[in-house]
Amino acid sequence: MLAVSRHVVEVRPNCSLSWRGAVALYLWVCAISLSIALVFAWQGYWPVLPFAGLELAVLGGALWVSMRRGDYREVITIHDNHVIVEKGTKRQRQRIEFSLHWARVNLRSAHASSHSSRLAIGSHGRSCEIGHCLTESEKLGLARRLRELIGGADQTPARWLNEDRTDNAHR
Amino acid sequence: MSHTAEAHHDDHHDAPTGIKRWLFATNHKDIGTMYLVFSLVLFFIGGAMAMVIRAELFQPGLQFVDPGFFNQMTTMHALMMIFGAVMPAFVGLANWMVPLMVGAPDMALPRMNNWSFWILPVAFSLLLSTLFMPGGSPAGGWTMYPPLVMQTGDAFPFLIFSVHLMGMSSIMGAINIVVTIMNMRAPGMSLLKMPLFVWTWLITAYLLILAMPVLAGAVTMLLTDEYFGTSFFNAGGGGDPLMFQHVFWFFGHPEVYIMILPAFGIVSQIIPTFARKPLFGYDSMVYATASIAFLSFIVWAHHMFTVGMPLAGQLFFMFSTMLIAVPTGVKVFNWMTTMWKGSMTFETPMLFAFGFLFLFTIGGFSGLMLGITPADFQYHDTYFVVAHFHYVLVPGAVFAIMAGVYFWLPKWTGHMYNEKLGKLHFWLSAIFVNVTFFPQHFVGLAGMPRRIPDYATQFADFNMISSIGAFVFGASQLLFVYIVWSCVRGGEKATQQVWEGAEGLEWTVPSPAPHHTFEVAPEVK
Repeated sequence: MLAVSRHVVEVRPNCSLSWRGAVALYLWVCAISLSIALVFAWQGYWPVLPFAGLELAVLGGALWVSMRRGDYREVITIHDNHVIVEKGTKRQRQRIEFSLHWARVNLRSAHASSHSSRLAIGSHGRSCEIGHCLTESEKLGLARRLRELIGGADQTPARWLNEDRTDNAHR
Repeated sequence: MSHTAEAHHDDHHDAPTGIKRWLFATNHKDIGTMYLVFSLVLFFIGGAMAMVIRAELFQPGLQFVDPGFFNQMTTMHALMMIFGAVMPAFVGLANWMVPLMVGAPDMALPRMNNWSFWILPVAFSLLLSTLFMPGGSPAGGWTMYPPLVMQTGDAFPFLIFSVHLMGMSSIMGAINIVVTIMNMRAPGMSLLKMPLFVWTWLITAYLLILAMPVLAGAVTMLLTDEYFGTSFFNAGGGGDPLMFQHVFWFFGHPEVYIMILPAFGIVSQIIPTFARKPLFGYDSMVYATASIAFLSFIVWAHHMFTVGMPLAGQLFFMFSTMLIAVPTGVKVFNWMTTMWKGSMTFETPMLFAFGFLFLFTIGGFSGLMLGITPADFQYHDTYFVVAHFHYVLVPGAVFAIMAGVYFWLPKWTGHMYNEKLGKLHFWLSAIFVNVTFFPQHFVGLAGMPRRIPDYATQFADFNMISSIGAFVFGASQLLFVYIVWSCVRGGEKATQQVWEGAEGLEWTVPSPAPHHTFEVAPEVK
């Protein structure tokens, strides 16, 4: 999911499940799976129970990892002279700063035809990959938008030519 | 999702190439491709075992193999086809298509996805290695009933361990699919806007999550009975061998639907495309799928009517089995109504889907016959059962997989396959699958037992016909390999939409889906 304000672009992964929904889903699966396993255990076939528990632990872990994606953010702030990229979760956030007039937006296609492209902002040998959690269409849209906002090393960003247009949300 | 913050050299983060690309694959398309190739290889290995079986049954008497090896072949054929061919093929299709269909960049847990695939070659290498062990490979049937399975030689622990590994792979795949569908759908894609293939896979994944621990527990109890002195199923120690059948089929019947629900999903994508009409009764299809899934947990004992159940039990399981015909009928009628007055064309995917519809229904009807308790007393363990489940699994599940491959192949490769050869493949398959399995109804009704290498001469003619059908059906699958291979190598360029009537997010990306490129942001209608 992608949202752009005048000078701030925020990239966040799409999460169609709320935490409450995830907990409800997990408890629902646990209730059914453990009911089945407990009936077998009650009949004396207890080895079903640890396997059910193990599996539910993996499911819980998978849901947790996936839900934590929702905390991930990439915030690209474009100032008059520099571009700041902040990415990570609330606990772990990394910050990289580039000079606006040297920064380049680079969208490179992958070696393998079935892989996704890679979008990065970079300058002076440093680069920072962004938009990893986006679909290809969104990545292309983001690249297009960032090129408008940042421009290449040898060009004036479009935003300086037409300031008002950048106010529109990209998506 | 990447947490990589900074790279001083861009190339450092590029995807690996060569063998590493596949070994460390996390891309859903690469993993989907690996699943599909793996399942094709196992399809041919399991098919070769079927050829051994049919060669031996070509005429009465023992010709080529001894009875012990024959039993190994029937057991291994089933294990290869169920766990190695059909299930991985559906997982492969899910890997390729589910993220594209829900507008997600990849599966929710790409590394676990890699692991769940790479467990499979290990599991099947272990299982196949048992062919060379003292005592040979498992020969007690894929159902692993004790005490017969306890007579397996050195292969026994390998069988149990490989089944555990297959189960682990399935569970991890299922969890990944559940999390992907629940948490990574594009904005606007509510549950009741998801393509039917996604819905059927979501329900299948829940079935896997609920059923697999039961299988794992069952085979573990076999192991502890054999090596650790327990007596779960050992009558000599106070256990009950019959309970294994209950435990096994509590897993086993949902497993049947695990192998057919995704097929329903594929057919539900294909028929509207080539009928150029929206799917009739979308909501009822979803509810029918969920109903079938629920019912699959309360019908297990119809596999064991002859063990001596109380009358109440027989009646319950008979009527609950009959109930499955209702939601299945809803599906069949919805597919037919979708085609009604449609602007139909019959390209290869539609031919396979149509073949599925017609022939799967035959398998469904013979299933209804088997669900009638008094009739089942006659049919049980005869070739009628073999005919029934092969009609469900070959022109059912396998035809749906082939339909799906032809349907999505242009999207995967960017090339159209050879339509003439595709149609030839369909007609050869459709004709000879019937030549193979239809006569088995007759020999079954006449009393020929299953899992035997020799038989009374009265069954000779139909067995010969069946074997000829099997040989030609098997050989015609080589044509499938050639068609797929030549399509991967080149051919007419496929358009973005590929099929005139195709709808859905997956058809809004170019063909091949190189960078899953959406020209515009995914829009869910």
